[in-house]
Amino acid sequence: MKVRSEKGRPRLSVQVVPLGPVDDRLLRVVAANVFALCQLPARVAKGGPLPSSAYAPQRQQYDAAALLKHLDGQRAEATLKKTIAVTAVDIFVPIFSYVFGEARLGGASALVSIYHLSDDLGKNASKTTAAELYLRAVKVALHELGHLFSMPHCEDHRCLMHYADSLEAIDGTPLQFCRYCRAEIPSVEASVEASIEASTES
Amino acid sequence: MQTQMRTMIVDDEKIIREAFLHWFEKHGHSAVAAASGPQALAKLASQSFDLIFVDIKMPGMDGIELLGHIKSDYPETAVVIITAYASIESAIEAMKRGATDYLMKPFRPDQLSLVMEKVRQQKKFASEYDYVKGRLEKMTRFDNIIGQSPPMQKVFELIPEVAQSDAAVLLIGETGTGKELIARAIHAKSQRANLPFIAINCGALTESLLESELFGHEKGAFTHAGQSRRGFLEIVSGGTLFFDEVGEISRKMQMDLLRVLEEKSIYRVGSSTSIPVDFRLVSATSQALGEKRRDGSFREDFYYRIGVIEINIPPLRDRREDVPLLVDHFLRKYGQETTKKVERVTSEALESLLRYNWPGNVRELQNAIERAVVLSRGPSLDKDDFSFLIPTTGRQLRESGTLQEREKAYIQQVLRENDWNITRSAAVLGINRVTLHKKIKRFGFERRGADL
Repeated sequence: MKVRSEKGRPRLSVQVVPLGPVDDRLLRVVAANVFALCQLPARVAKGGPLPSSAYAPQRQQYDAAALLKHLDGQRAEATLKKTIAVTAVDIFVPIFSYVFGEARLGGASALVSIYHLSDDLGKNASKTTAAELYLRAVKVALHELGHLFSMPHCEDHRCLMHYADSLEAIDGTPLQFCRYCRAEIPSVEASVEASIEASTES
Repeated sequence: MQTQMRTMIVDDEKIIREAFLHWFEKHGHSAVAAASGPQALAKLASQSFDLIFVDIKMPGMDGIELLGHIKSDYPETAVVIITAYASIESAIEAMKRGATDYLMKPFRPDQLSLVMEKVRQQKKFASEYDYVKGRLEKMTRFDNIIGQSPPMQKVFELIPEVAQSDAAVLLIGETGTGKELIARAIHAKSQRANLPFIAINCGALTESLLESELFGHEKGAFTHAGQSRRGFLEIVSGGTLFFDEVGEISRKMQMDLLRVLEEKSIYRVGSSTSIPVDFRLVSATSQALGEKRRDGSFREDFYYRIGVIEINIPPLRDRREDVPLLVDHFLRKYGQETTKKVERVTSEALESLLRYNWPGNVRELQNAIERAVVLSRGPSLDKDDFSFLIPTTGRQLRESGTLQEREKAYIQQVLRENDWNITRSAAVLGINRVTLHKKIKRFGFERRGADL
């Protein structure tokens, strides 16, 4: 199942999907920011329920790796269509007690969990506003999307690809890629050429 | 996070190894995984790591045991212990055994970042320490002579003092203790430093050759003396003359030299015109001259003339504390020369080097390190890499025979040890491959000969 543009050529695009119940406004904000910062077509698509197989009862959390596997399994096309799945549940990878998001370098799907994004007990116990929560989710989503484009972490702490391991770090990162990382984001045109090459090869 | 690190994760659980590998990959660190302690040690033997995460609970060799191995053989590698349960005892044990930190599974992302930052800081301190150590090392060496042991420090103290005067110096030390290096240091610290330093091995020259080399000759002084030539005593013109193996000088030559030292002038062979000379004499001997003086083959007056100041250079076995320093120095030297990445000697190997008697002194140690580096296959030299030292000592002392017999036997031994690899054997013997082939042919060695 290939996504085709008006001219019938496959194009690079990003879809934002909910995994389990998620506020629709949040999904639209994420998609809008992907379009704004990456200049890539982004839209909100229909999601699905959380797969029960990814639930780890002993940790009472969802296994991020299993969720990514589930998302990848739903899709055939990996190189041109990237998926950002947003979930409200608590997710983990085996070594960490929790993660804000997860994606593999060059993968097809990325995962963002807002579970720990509103939990700012360390600050002044004040409730996180929706705007704050959305902004954090957008930053995590763009960071994980970067990984899908094979971008590793960046040393520049003013870049979205900088490794942010706490809410403080996320809040301290501006909503922008540094110019070096910016150059790593594939453009729609480049992706069309790449796909033509790929199709002639096959 | 700024510096890329070479990391390894040792855990029997695949999902943990993978989680770490993914995390390291995103951070741009190189990472490998090992499923057990022995696997980790095998990887350590072939490449170096900055940081290793070790699960405390593994079947077979557990994390604490692995930590012990790593810290004893690769002390510069940081180890972080991962535990699944909060066990204060095991954490304390790990820290006692040299772990940089420990993490309790599962940990928060920022906890791992903190540990990485701590390791990065430690590495930074370590490299700063290495720099300071390097400067300190310069203080424990005198020109190219290395030693921090009290007897060597005493020698170092003597050198500048002696250098200031013009008195003749006699260096007494076994072969390979660095007599020429000390002679050069005395020259370098003296006011003659900018003038020539000429070393003559008196034992290597026949009396007539030595005479002609030292005094020079006039045209027609003897057969083949087609033109007149200046001798070293003239050429040195204000510099330092170094007589190695001064005990080998004949009585007649001793008398001639004595006259030179007293009159400060020479006559070329076949000439009756005296030429004024000016030089500082440093002599060296590897054998005590007492017996030669008693039996009269070494003149008393010459002995007192050349040995106004005597410096005894201790053999390596009397200053074993210098062995690690020397090992380190030669390791770096040959690591650079051969571009082989040999970074360390295991504690076991160092122990055997410390125990060894070093009859050939520093030169033997130097050759041993060079040989081991040339033949090494990994980043560290183990006890086995120096196995050639142990058997040869016993044999060297017991065996006798002509030089040719010894040469033949030694070449055979080296060929056998190196599986008849000509390049390797030639490297060990310090000759080129063509020479080795010639020797094999001359001695009639055959690969499958009954005697091999």
